[in-house]
Amino acid sequence: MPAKASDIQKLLPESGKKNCKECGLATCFAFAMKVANAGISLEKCTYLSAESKAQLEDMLRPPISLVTIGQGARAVVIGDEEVMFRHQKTFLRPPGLALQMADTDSEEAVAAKLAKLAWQMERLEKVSRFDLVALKCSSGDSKRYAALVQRVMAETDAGLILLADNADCLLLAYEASKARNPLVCVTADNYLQVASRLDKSAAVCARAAGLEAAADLAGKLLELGLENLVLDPGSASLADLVRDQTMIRRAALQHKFRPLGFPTIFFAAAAASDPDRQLLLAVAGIAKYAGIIVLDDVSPEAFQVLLMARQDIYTDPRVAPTVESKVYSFNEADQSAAVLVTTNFALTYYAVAGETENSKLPVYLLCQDTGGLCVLAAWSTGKFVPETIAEMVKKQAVADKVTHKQLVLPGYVARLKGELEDELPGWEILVGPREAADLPKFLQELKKRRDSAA
Amino acid sequence: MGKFLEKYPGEIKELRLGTEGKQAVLGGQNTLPFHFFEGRPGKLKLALEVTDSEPSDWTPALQEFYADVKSSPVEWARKCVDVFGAEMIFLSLNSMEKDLPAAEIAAGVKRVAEAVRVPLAVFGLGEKEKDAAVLPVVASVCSGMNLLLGPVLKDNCQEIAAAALEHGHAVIAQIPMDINLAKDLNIRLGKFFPLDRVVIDPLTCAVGYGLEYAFSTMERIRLSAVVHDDKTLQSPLIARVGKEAWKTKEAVQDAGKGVLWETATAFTLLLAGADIVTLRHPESLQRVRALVH
Repeated sequence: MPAKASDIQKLLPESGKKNCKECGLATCFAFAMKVANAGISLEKCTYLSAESKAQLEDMLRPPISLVTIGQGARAVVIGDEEVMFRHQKTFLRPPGLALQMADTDSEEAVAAKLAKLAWQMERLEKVSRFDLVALKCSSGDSKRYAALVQRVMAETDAGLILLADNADCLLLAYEASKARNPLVCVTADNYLQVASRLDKSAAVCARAAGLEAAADLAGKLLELGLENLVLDPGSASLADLVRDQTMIRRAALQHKFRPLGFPTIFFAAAAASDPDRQLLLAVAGIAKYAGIIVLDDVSPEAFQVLLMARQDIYTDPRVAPTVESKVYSFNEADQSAAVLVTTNFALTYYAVAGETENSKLPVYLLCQDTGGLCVLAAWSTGKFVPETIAEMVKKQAVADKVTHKQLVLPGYVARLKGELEDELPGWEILVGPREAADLPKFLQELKKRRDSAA
Repeated sequence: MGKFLEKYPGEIKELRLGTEGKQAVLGGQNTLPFHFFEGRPGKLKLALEVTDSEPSDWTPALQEFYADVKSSPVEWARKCVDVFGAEMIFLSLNSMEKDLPAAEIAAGVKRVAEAVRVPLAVFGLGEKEKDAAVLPVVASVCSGMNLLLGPVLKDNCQEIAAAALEHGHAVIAQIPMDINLAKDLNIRLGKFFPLDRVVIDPLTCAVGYGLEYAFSTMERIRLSAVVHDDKTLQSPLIARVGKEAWKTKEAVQDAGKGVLWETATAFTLLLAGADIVTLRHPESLQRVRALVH
């Protein structure tokens, strides 16, 4: 919940009635309004006492801090989430996905994982991929570890997560990769040696066994002036994960408990060694608030399902997903292609497009703009009716693309057939299946009928 | 951390299915999914799906997998329980598509119910007239076997639920992905049917095909029941994952992907509140079970 201007005003000089105008605004209330919207810095008020300033900073800080790891196009920005459940508004920042490798891994293993960091998936007009690489010091040899860090930096722009128990190893790696804004993981055992040598702006992960210990370590790091924190409560099972993630978000959002007011990291790699289990725990991490999820490895199939699940859960429920309203062609559509019409609701499109591809038959698919409503919802609100369908057929000059005049309607709106024939004189309106899954069979039969008629 | 724990006013009553010696209990939670740290989570059931005549619309990979049993629902169901460890059998009545006599379909259901030692869910086509004609006959032929029958829709709830009540079965109330429709149908049913004998099926979508809608619908229904103590929504939830996962483009292309899609979808929906998950591949069942039990 953002701070209210009236509450901010009360903490300004003379209870917000000084109105000196030195900040450039007409009144203290105008200044407070701008502060509430993050439109002006508190520094502009030169009369603010140190105590009021600290109070205001506290009031303005989001309950879950925003933390950036890495830099440039591949930077991962997490935290600043506002709700416990996605339907209450939306989940804002998809978790960063990380692949883990160790300085004792074989050359082939490292090369294979580096190649996987370049994999990408394009879906719903967005490109996504693994965002981070977690580098583990298993050798205890600071030079060997630094060499891995150097190599990884040279070969990928993915963000770095530094994992070493030994403070010297960690610091050497930090110095080498500082410019790339890595996430430095510390524990209760090594934070005293490490923290003082990190920049105050460094992203630091507090790794601990359990919530209490994580909160305790985060509190100590805060006292040392480090504020870009990520929490790892060491969840080791599904039940742990749900508990830890729920408690952290709840403590931050509902109780403003500062030591837990940070995004989280979940080491699926540490919770399970079996790749199938790791994958499922990662899926759970996506649904349950994890800010970063670390896996040992990923297969092409796991990569795809993980990225799709992440995109699903982080879809904004307030906005219907759409695809561009146009004519899509499949399987080298030519003049003989079947012509199908449906809505531009993204999920309808993906279901229909997938099955159309499976049919291996040439098809033109018209996605009429329904503002992202599915077939039945669009029909019942007047957005997918004979007039709008006919308009699209004419506007896209579909008659010029094919030699026949047959248009296939979704089975759910079979009732539009008659009226649509009136709107599109000369066209034969066919009723397609209700479910996309039945399209390949329908298209086969349609082709057979056409072939035998010819 | 104790000060951050929450107690909730609502709870889902336990639902007992099956008869003496092969009973199973599901639900019974007074907290949110997997919240072992602050309450009593519900009892889950992982079901394998069986069809009562050859599953010609299943992907070739699955048909091949069940080649030895797919023509015998009894053998198939037994194998799912005895070999694959299914905790429940979800019997899809695809023979209804062939318009077999209702009595013949019902006799087949009874044979399956008698053959296995786990509870049985029996699911029609979701077509209101056909289901209303066949499911009451199933209810009567299997009288007293305490099955889970569905789907009961807004337009046929009288016929099917009344027969289920008379013969001692629980029902699956199906609505299209909307918490308010779930509430309406439960209120309608509640006038003559005990709501603690209803399982809600809010429909399911697979990963990449609208999972977020299914996830949030289930989560909202469960939050209303437990956190807001809405008595009309205090029913267990079923996620029919197998059907949705195995019709995705990915599963059709590759059986390995099918298992991944099935497990990832099932797992996400269990976190949203599903109490029964139906699966088609036993490998999926093993993977999910290894983590949730």
